Amino acid sequence: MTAALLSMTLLLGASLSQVPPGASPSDEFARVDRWIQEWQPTAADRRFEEIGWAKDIPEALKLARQHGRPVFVFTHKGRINLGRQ
Amino acid sequence: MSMRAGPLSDDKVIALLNSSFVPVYAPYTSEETQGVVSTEQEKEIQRIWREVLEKKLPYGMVHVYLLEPATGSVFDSLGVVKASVTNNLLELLGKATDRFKVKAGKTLVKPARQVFPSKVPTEALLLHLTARDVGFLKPGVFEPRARDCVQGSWREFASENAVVLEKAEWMKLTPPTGQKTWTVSQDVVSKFLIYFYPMVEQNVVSHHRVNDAPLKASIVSTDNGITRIRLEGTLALKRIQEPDAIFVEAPLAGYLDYDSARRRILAFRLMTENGKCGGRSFGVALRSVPPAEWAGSETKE
Repeated sequence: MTAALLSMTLLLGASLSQVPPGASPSDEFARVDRWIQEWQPTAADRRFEEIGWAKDIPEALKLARQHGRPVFVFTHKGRINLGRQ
Repeated sequence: MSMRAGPLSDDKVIALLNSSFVPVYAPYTSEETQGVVSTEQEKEIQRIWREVLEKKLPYGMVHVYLLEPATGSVFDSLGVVKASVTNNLLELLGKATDRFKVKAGKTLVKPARQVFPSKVPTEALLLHLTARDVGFLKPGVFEPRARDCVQGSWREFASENAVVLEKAEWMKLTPPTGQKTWTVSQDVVSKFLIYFYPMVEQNVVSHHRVNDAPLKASIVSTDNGITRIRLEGTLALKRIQEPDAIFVEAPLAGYLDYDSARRRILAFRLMTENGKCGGRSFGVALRSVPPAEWAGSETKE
């Protein structure tokens, strides 16, 4: 994954830094569009979102009582849903 | 974040949590999460921690806890170091389903995007940011690592932010009357440029300070009432605790399309391809999000 990202960066970086003199603005904006598109989170990045997370602990407790399921609580620092602090 | 990159991305763990548990993640109140954790949520976290101490179960702030279905009392727990090993977590979950004879069923809460706010004000502009660490600037065995641009599981997935600009804010991105080039308002660029950084530990975003006038705008064309505006500049991000040290340097490039008749931003794009943070390189993509993409997401803010 990291290697793939690195090679993508190098390729895109090369294409961006080697803009031919006189390149049209539309070429410049097309490169921005391509970068934005390719930089989006992948399905692998977003596996965490395949879990049906309850909104908060009070909601989880309510659902647990209704459906007879244990609650799985992960307490943590930072913002796990954003992937950073 | 080793939990997210590890067991919480594993097929078996995902299936078990969805079919037999009510999963919830719970950031506790800290400098990094000010304004994020509700009073009710914090009260429950404190209650769980208290109970665990009373029951002499393994305890920690970054920790997995299992609560009984009927009472919500804690009956088992596992520290993050052990829980980050998928088999350890599967064993913990398996013991719990046996104990309560849980019958696997459907997922109780529909999986959804966890990044976007559940509500966005009318006429606001929602921006989505994706940041990725792309490695050392000078790869090598003896390459020293920057103090807080650490290597680890933070780098194993993209980090994201959602930024909401109210109409009064995004209007400051649009052309001032009679001008073809201008510097974009510091207030509004600071709202999104503070998130132009890679994955780092022990970081408080509210400490970030954006350099003066980092983003310039110029009208490139106007076609059928749509004005294409080029955005370019250089970000030099500092932090209040180290006011003389540059935390992040990043070239910026992008554009926005503005419909002056309807007074709407149709598209906003901004990127940095080779930002620098300590000894590491990173990239960021920032884009406007069409309402159809976020509408109806029942997510945490």
